[in-house]
Amino acid sequence: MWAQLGEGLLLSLRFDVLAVLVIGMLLGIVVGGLPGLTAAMAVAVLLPISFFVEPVLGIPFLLAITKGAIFGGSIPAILINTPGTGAAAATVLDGYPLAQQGKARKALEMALYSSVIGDTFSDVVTIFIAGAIAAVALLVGPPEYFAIFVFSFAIISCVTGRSVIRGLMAAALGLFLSSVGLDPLIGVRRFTFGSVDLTGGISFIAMLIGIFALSEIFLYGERTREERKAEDERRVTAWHAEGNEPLTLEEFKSCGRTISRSAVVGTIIGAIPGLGQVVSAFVSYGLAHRRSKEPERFGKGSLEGVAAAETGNNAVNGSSLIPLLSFGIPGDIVTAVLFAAFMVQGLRPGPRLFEEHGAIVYSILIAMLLCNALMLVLGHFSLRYVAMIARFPKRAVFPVVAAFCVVGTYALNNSFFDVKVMLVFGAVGYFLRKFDFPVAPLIITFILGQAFESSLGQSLIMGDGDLSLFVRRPISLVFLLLAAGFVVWGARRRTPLGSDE
Amino acid sequence: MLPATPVAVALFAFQLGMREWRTLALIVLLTPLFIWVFFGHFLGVVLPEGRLFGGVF
Repeated sequence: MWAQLGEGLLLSLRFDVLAVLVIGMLLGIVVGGLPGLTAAMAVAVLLPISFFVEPVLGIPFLLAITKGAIFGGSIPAILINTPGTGAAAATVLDGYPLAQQGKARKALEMALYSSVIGDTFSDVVTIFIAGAIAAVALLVGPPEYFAIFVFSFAIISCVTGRSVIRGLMAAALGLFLSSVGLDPLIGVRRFTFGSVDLTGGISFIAMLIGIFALSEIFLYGERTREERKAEDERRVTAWHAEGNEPLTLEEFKSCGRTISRSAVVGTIIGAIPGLGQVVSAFVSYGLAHRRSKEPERFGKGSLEGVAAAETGNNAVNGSSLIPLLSFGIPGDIVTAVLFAAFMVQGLRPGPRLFEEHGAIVYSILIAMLLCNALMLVLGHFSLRYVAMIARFPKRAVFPVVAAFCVVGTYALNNSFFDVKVMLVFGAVGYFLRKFDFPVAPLIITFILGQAFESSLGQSLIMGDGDLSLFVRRPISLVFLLLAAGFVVWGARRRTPLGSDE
Repeated sequence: MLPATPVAVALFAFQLGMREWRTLALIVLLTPLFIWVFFGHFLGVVLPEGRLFGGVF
């Protein structure tokens, strides 16, 4: 590990890597600062750009966008009472009251410093743990993998969205769509309807761009002109002048315990597929509220509340890569996009990734740490400008995003078929969101569908078609029972837990 | 593709309620320029030619 870590360090300490991180971070902060543009949407639209450069540049570029967007989302949350991304929903609770009291600068600086600390803690844990977990993952066979996939699908379907039935239906649709193209075991064509373009399956990138970017634009376009105008005006009138008082060292120190606790909570939640930033931010906020010496200030403008929410949501960034890198299982939409980026670069996420491309993986993980240092500097200097961008109307941003969707999708294979696929999935995403279906289960089961099918096929070959193999092996049995438990629990709960974003 | 992009962006922006002419002009000019420079030259993407007037539109 140490040799690979050293090689990774050398690979990541290059001028071009730093330049790409700066660009990605600035883009991310701007996107996060624009209410309505999510981190997932940004990485989906900009994903094709990462294919044109080597993995040590392309993947950190996407990670920088994500980190920047998660932090950037806190800026409109604090200043105009509108979270830029779903992850900043808990930041609004205390950030906006602070802005109303003329303490916007304190809140923004607290958000920045706590984001950087939470993110850095999570990244360091990921660097030291992911490789070790991958070594353990190498010991499990196809039946265990099959059970882990079932467990992941169950948890993602049950915690995202409002209804477990809708989550499971979305997961089933994703699995069905993944079966289009050649069968992974015997190479038979399925559901291609004679189309050569579909032989290789549905283009995942085109699907992602359609579902995340285009459907968002369709939903915005559906509103009446008056509604759109009213939304933009509401954002402008909600604007509050920034207070000029900076955060003092005493104020920051008083939140030290909250930041440490939230960093640990966020890191643990990030490593569990399906939960993500929103859950982490609210759990951290809730814990901070319960343990605070001044709980009465929460919701009325508590710096501790901002620190808890921002540390919690950013601490997910690093650890969400643990299931992706160790097992090849993306836990949320952003890691699903990263999965695609790894695959296109010839790096298959999973236990062998550290063996085969250890230096590259560690260079990517070290680049995440560099991102945090850059976030501290760029975040500090860009706060005021991003605050201005947060007022930019969506009607000016979305036409540009739509043009990038078309060009980015076309650029994948110089193919108009991909553009058509993107348009179709834009419509699919629109209807899924319109009827309250979570899209995360669809995306993740679609990505893992072929690996899921292969592990099932290999297991059946191993057991001569005997399905009891899955319950005779203890690890497989435990994961299948956990999956069943999650479905039962999900069916009984009444409030949504995770975020589709 | 490039001559079609400003037209598409302008129509789309207008449809979404964009009436500030300066902002509209800015995005209509900058979007195709960025696509041409970034995708066409920097990333080397072969942007498609149109079917009318010898590929211009």
